[in-house]
Amino acid sequence: MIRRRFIPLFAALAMHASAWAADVRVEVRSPGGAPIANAVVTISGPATTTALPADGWVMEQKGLAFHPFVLVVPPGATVSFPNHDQTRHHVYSFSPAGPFELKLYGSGETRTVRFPKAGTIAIGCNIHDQMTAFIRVTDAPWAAVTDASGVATFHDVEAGDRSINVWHPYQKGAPDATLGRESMIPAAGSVTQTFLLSIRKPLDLHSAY
Amino acid sequence: MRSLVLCLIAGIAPQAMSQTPHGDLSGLLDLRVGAGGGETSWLDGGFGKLGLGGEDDLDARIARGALVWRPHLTWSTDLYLQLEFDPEQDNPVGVGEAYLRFKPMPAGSLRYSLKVGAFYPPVSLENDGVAWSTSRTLTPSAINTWIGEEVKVGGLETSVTMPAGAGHLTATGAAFGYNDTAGTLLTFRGWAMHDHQINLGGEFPLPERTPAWWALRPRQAHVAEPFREIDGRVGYYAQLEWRPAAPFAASVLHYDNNGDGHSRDDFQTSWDTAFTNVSVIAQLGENTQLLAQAMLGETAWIPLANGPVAKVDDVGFRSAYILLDHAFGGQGLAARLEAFETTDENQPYSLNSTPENGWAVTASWRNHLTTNLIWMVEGVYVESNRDARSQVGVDPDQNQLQLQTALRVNF
Repeated sequence: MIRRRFIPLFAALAMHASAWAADVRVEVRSPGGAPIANAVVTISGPATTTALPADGWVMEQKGLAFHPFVLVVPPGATVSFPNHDQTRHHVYSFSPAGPFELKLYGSGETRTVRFPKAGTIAIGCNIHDQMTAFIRVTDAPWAAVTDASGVATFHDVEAGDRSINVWHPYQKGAPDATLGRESMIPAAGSVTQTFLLSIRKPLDLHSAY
Repeated sequence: MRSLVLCLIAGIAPQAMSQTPHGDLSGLLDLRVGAGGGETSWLDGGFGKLGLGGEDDLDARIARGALVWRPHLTWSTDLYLQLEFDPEQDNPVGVGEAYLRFKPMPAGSLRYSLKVGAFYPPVSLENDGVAWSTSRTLTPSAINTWIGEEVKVGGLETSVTMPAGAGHLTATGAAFGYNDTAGTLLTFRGWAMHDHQINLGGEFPLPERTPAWWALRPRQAHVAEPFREIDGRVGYYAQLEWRPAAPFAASVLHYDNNGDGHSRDDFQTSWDTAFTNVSVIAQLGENTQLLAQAMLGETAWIPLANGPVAKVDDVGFRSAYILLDHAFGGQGLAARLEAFETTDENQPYSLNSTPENGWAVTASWRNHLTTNLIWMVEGVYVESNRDARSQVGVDPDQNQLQLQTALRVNF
């Protein structure tokens, strides 16, 4: 009888390998309440694991645009840049955190770049000036980009005092500053945090060239 | 010019092909059915402002075919060659734009580019599609129609983009020739709205006029040849564009072909033409765009270099439009309102044949059937007054309605 009662408890503990963890939902909105997509949300603090893998990251070129617009990766990550357009691209960055140049390459081809250190890498194409994207390299154990509804969701964030930070490539103020807040992550359940961020989006020109 | 282009292709092709395994070809095919009421179109010798017009002008045709070849010759140099097919023109096949572009990797925060060849000045906000096509409407505004028909230059253009606050500033300058006759159509016909573009060496008809009227202009052919160098003088344009850290861009461009106003060659005249264009583009919401342009200019010619100062034609021209575009679920709606005017600045010798004024409204719907296939439907209504019509027995006040639908293949 006693044995039967303990089986479900052991099973529950086994399923929650990262015991004493909670889900964290972060909403990023403008002061007017509009959802802000493409904001990078990081959760830092002592952690035993990082949620971000070092490989498998992709920055596509499709429809004369980079996809995703914002990518967040850990230091040392390798990012591939496949070209799915019919035209050729010449991808580069002058950002001190990870300058690189991928000389002209055509449809169906790909190149890879390794980003060893943390920072922001602004990416462009020398053929198509309207193409822009950002890679944010972070050593935070948990990081994600907000979706179209302005939400980033994290599962199994270890309980404890954590710092939640938000960054957006078009934020007002210092380009590398983050909007941060200390948060106590509970041992179970979920927690939601909302950040208000002011951004100034430049003109998005779609050109056939 | 045509032989020059052929030589360029022949000389460059082997090297270019070896470096472009996937090619750099793009283009479009525009199949269209349309009907236009009101007076005879200017393309048929009338004063009609639109591409269609006259009695029962119902039309089904290939409106345009364009092929763009853009091979990279080095990491930072490419060739742009645009071949055109327009069955309405006397020479249906021709070269649209042809130039070499040098665009080195940005030097820090500065971006440079240089191009040499035949191209349009960066005036139009509307012609941002493949092969200088309009992406929101079938018919461009009066301003950009005129750029497309009379303002293609041959020369050198350079630009530099630099940071300005949290935004960017781009300065562009060009020295050019081969645009001496710009202004001929504006003077003889006035403003128009259509999507026929001049090819290198091409020509457009001028409206039929009375023998007495032509007698004052014995050395003007009854066609305009916009891509011509006549007086050997160098023209220029300069543009400043500002893109702040906001969904907005504004630019101002000044053009002066520096024509001497009297040299002639083969029944074409070097007109002295200058204009200023102001452009604004703003993103009003995620899927809503506002475009606006205003142009103010003057064009003139005088009979003799050292003769009486009296000019035969001295025409002021101005036009402005505002266009709203909204995209939704693979479709788009565009509405444009515009006004245009030409004035006779040849006082007190006015022959009262060049003034006109008018306005037009355009509404367009597009549906992206696939990535490469777009179905468009458009209506244009235009009202205008031009005294010159009365000289050929037509009421000076005219209005026209034109309806068109197009299937566009972009590739």
